[in-house]
Amino acid sequence: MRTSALKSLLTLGGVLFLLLFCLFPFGYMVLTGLAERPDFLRRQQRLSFTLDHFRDILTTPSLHFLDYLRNSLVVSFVSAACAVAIAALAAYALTRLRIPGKRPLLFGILAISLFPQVSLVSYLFKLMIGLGWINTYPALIFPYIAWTLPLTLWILVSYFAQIPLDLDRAARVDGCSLLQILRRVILPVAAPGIFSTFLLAFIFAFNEFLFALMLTTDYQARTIPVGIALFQGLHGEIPWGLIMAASVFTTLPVVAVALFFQRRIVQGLTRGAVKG
Amino acid sequence: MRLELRQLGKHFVTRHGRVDALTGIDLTIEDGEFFVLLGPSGCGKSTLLNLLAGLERPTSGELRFAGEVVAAAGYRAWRSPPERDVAMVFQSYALYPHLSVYGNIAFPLEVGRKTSKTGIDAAVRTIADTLQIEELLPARPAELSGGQRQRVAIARALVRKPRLFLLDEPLSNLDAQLRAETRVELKRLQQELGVTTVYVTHDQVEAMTLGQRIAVLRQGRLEQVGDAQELYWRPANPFVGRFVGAPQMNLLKAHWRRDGDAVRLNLGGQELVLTGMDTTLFVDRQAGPCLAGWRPEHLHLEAEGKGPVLVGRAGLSEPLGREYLVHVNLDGAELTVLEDGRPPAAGETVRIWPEPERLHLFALP
Amino acid sequence: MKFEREGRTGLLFLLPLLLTVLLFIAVPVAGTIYDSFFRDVTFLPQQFLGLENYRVLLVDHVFFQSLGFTLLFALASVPLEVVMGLLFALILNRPLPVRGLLRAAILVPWAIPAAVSGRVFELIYNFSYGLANYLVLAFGLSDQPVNWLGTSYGAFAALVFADAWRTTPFVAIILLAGLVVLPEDLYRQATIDGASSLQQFLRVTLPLLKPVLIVALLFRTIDALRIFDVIYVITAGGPGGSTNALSLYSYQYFLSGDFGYGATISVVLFAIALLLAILYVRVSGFGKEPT
Repeated sequence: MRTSALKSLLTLGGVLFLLLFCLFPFGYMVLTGLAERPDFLRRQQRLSFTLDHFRDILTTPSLHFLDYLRNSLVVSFVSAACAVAIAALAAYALTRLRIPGKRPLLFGILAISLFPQVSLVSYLFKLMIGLGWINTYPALIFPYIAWTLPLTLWILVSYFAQIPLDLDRAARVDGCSLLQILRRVILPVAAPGIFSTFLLAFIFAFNEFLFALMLTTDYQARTIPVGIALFQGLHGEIPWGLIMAASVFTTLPVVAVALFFQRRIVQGLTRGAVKG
Repeated sequence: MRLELRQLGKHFVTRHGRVDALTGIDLTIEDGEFFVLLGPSGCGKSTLLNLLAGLERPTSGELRFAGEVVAAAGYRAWRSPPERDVAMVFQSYALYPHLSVYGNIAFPLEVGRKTSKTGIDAAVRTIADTLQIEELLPARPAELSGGQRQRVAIARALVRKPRLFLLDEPLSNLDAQLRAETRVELKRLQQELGVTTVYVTHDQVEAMTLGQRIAVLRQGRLEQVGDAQELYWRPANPFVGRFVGAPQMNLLKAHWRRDGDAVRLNLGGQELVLTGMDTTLFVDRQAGPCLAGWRPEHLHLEAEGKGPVLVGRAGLSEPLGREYLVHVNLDGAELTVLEDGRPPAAGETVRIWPEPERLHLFALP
Repeated sequence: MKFEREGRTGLLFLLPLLLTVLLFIAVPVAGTIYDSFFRDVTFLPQQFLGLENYRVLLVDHVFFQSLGFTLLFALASVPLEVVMGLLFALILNRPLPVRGLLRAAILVPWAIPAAVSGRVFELIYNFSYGLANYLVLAFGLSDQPVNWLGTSYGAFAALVFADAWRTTPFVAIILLAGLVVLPEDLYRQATIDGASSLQQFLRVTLPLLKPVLIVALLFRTIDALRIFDVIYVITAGGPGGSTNALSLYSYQYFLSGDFGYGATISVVLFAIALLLAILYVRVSGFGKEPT
């Protein structure tokens, strides 16, 4: 009996530790955003709340927060959607059609996902300058699609591989062409998995930093991670209140998505992570 | 629709070398026939079905539907599955999980065929009525039992009145009672519709009860083709002899010798003199080694005055309900005898009378 | 050889993927490697240097400082993440009613952009009023506030923790995937055989989890070596260049327009990552194909 009580206590302790560990920065972020002054932890300061930071970040055009938000949402959505579409086609081919060199291809893609971004970004920069795309949406969308493809491909391959081949055979006998099988059978059956993959790709693209840092120059195409990273304020003091308010706006939707779709996201990540 | 298979073969090249799934299959299946492909797992029966459906290409030989070549080795001719007008029921049923029963059945009609919406509706309801699944039409496959799913799979296959109906072990996922009931229904349905049917199974009872003709396959080759009676009474080789008929046929190594118009059969030291046998098997030879086969139901423990007997020691007796399957040890070889009286005690010496006309003699493989 | 229609369609379906990856990943990498053989600085004429850049690299003590930091960083943060990740995975594996909440909580560090969480940690480590020093003083761990970001040791510790915070969830999820497939029966058998919980963990769970652990370790090591976002935001490579990870060092050259030397550094990083990536691909095994 003592051991089971001990175990329960340990479990409770572990749960609390997990929650605290994962959420304390987020909590601190919210507090600082709400606090009038960022140094509210100093002994001599009183803690007073205000919504000014939240209001200011949204309403001050020169801060460009809404621009960054718009850019991030558009770029992430488009690149995630395209990546998932391209990966779905490829995953269908890889799991069902007889193609030479399937394995080396998958390995190659897997290896690509481990490249350091810095080893691409200089040439991408030159490429975008040459195309005249610097500081535009395409400059981010195309590299993002390529960069999220390995992850989306791996996850979709694992989802598609679980769909029994008999369904393809039945559809074929029933009169479908290969493309029809994909459209009428595989995609509908894999729809939940495709959705999860899209969520993951979206988050992946949304959080990207280095490409956005180098390939954009101002609010016209700059994304939120870069915007928040570079936010230094006009005077000497760093405007932590504003920065944290911006951060809360940025992370709240993501946290909400995580809350609603936690099961799906974990499932997708699991498949993407445990390869084979 | 008549099917002709001429020297049909299929081999695969894998990492482990070449695998011959089917070799030299010569068959003609008549229009409206219920034809069964019987064999153990790995014998190539599913591959053959896939070749008929157009899901695989043959690597040798040719296949004709109603005289027209639909597949041949070397890519010379080819009709894809939609073009062949075949329907198939898979072992797993392969029902589309995202569609209702109605949607599943309507699917083949909707895909690339020019049937009107009302036409489709009428066809679906008709076949659902025939298979007694009308109430299930709005349900999803996940909500159905195994037997119900199977009916839906059959309905989906038959809704477009195909000219060839293929079934890949459709009853193997059902429990024994359901299997027996469904067997009868399937046979009735096929007779009613008259569609040429090829049915694959490893269960010889299914094969015997359903098939007008049966082809026994082993390791990609045809062992024998015939109706149930032929396979049972005149198996062409030991494999067919043991595969068809339950309990399994007994096979003993023996040596035969002609003695006038009688045959002396030497079984491990014991000799039987048998008369009245069909000696055409022996052609012009006088003696030789062989495999002697008797089905357990043609061996009898009530041996008094019947004829030449074999002597052995009784072992286990397995109760089968009405009868017992008695294991008998015959100088090291094992025999099973189907006995409907009281079984002998283990260790008891028994005398077995084999029916002479029911002896199957096979050359040694 | 004549292609079956299926094979041709298959390649067609793969085409968008291959094109995109080729154009925006393979070509840039090749281009960077190419650049590393040149003197490529804006406003200066391009000049082929052969291996000159690499020779310079070999005597560049800043490079070795950067390499040293990067390796030490990986060495410190990866085990920390794996241990904590294992702990979290074990907790997540239990059938608790708050499981959904726990899973959502564990996604938070991963879902927040690294740049954003970087700034939060930048504030946390603020010398005068950050959360870290508040806790240090409140719990009496020191009677002086710690200069986290102003000293090289402090910055190192700060970065290790910040990155571990961010990436532990991912490790936890990978390990959870490995835990979930362990058959319940093994534990029932172990209980019958008389093993305590701790013994079951050490003798059943850990050995069976070994392949997944190795995969997680390798993956996280590669990831740690190429770190950029968090360091850029929190320390920007300081103080005094003591936390200059390789990717950051390379980036600094790009920023000042020296693409040639920057490329050289990033090629070295790429080579290290590639070596480990090949190892990772081998170890993580073959993808299964449907039957």
